[in-house]
Amino acid sequence: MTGATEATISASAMPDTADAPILRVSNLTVRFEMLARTVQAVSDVSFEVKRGETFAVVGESGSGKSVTALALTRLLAVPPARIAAGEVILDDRDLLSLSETELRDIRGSDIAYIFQEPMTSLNPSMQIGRQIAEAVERHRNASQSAAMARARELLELVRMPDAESRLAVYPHQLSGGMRQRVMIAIALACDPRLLVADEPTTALDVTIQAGILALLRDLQDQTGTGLILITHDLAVVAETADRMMVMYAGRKVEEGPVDAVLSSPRHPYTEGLMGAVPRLGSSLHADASKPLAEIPGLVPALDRPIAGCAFAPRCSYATGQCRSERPALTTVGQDHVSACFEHARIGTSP
Amino acid sequence: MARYLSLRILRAVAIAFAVVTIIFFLFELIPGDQAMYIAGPGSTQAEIDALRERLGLNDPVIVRYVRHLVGLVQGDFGTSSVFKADPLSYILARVPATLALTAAAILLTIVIGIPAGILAALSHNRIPDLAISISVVALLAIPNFWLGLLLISLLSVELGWLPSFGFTGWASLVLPSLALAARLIALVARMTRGVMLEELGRDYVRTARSKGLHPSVIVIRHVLRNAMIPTVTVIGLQTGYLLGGSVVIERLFAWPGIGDLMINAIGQRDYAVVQGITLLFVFGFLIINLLVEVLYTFINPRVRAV
Repeated sequence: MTGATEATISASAMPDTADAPILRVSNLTVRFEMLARTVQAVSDVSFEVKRGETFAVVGESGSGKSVTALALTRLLAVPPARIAAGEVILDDRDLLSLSETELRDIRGSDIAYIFQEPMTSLNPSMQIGRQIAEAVERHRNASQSAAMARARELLELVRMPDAESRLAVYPHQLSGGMRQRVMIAIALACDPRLLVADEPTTALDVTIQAGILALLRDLQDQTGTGLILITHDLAVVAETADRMMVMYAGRKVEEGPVDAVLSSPRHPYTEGLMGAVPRLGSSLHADASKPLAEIPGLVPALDRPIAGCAFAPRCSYATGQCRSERPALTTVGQDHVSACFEHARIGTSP
Repeated sequence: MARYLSLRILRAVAIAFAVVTIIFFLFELIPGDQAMYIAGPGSTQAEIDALRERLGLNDPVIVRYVRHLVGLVQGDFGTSSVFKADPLSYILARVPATLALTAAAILLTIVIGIPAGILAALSHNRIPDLAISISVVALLAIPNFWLGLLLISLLSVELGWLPSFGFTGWASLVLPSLALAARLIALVARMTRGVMLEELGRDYVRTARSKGLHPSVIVIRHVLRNAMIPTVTVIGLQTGYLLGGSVVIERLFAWPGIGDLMINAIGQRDYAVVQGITLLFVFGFLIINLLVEVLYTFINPRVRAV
């Protein structure tokens, strides 16, 4: 992983077409417009994903990470959601300005999704073979039998034991881990260039989680697909991701290579998230005997503009400036940005 | 599957037995002397007593109950006071008319109720949805006999488009089946709308969208089947109530079915016919329920696996 991170850093220092981003998101803003109020779930978020890279998006529930993921191909329900601003560039085309018909050609073909709940994300009354094959048929102009043969291949690819006979099985006849393998098979059906995995392991047992993550990593090595990994689990990030973005209250608050961010976080929210992860033995924070820290307070409501830094009310570093003025993203290291006035003081343990 | 079915059939038999018992004792509680009605007006007390003795009406209730059960198993429904004979053949002669009426009502429910519900769900909170939802409430609120009267006065008396009385050809089926089905159409439309909306919000729909499928493919291939699982159940269960509704509707349209026969039989205190028809309704209800459950296993793979 370290090697991959270094490669990423050197590549971005010296632009190279092979390592050009496959997806570039800029200034994405998503609002949910309801009768009584408007919630701005994502504000001005920008990031890039490169070929073969795993880009982690981290944050609590309600931080806007899933909304960001769904907004990429406009999978959000409209209304109430509305993409108020921004660009999502894939191959010099802005996905947000495409027609619904054009976008359908991209969904499942160039950008594919793996969703959190393998229990509910599969159709309960359709055989899994059909659910995989229909994605192939949709984009590959394949006959039913050819698509089914491809479905079998895909089940083997995701290491489903006894793939042939599993094609005719319904989701309820599979375990959670096996269902998630089916989800991955669906996502891989048309060799997408970008996979978006929204909490792919959250609903699974820890042992099964490790298997799914290893599978994703192997598949990525084989196919060179980019991966956006949405998670709240920093252990998963440390294990699998190359670069990471931390979101809070709909904004990007820190972004950088995983090693750099996790070894020296430059935003108090990132630091807080790390403090909230239980550890065995050695840890990034030397003092393992310290009780598990929680971040005091709640995620702010997003239905009105927040003056200053959204994290200030929960932040132990906050100053008067933090409460009145919103910090802009500033460079704090190589490829490492943070939106914090006090970023130099992070880790000094107030 | 075989085990599932045999369990259901066993349950149906048990329910039938319970219903037969309840009906028998309910009729015991009704005042009046059966022999008197069978003997007819102008009979002497001696004739009535003789008839009582011959019909075994003087025996203890348990003896009569057992005899009744044995008779039913052998297909003996007792003696009709009106027809002076076994009522079964008279009842069965009326069955086709009632079946035709019920089948037409179910057909109307399927071709009107389900599409209306789907249309309402797909146009959620827009004009078609509002129009359908208002019609649903109206149809649920209007009693079916009154709707029948309105239909007769408009389409038959005023416009003269459709016959309103008896059976004079297939056109005769339109008004009574519409009046009979109205409530069920409304119920199924509301049900379908609710279930469709629920299914459209499910995660698997998002998965289907993320594959790049066209919305119409998503609705037809993914959502409909899941939405039909509860809808089929409701139609099936409500079909039993159509039988009850047909008693009133048949009377209103002078439809020559068993409901009409039943009203006449009640008026004439013809216990054997009333009892026979009640049992027929019960068995009809049970058979329909059984069919629904079999159908259910075909559309819901989760039940099939059990």
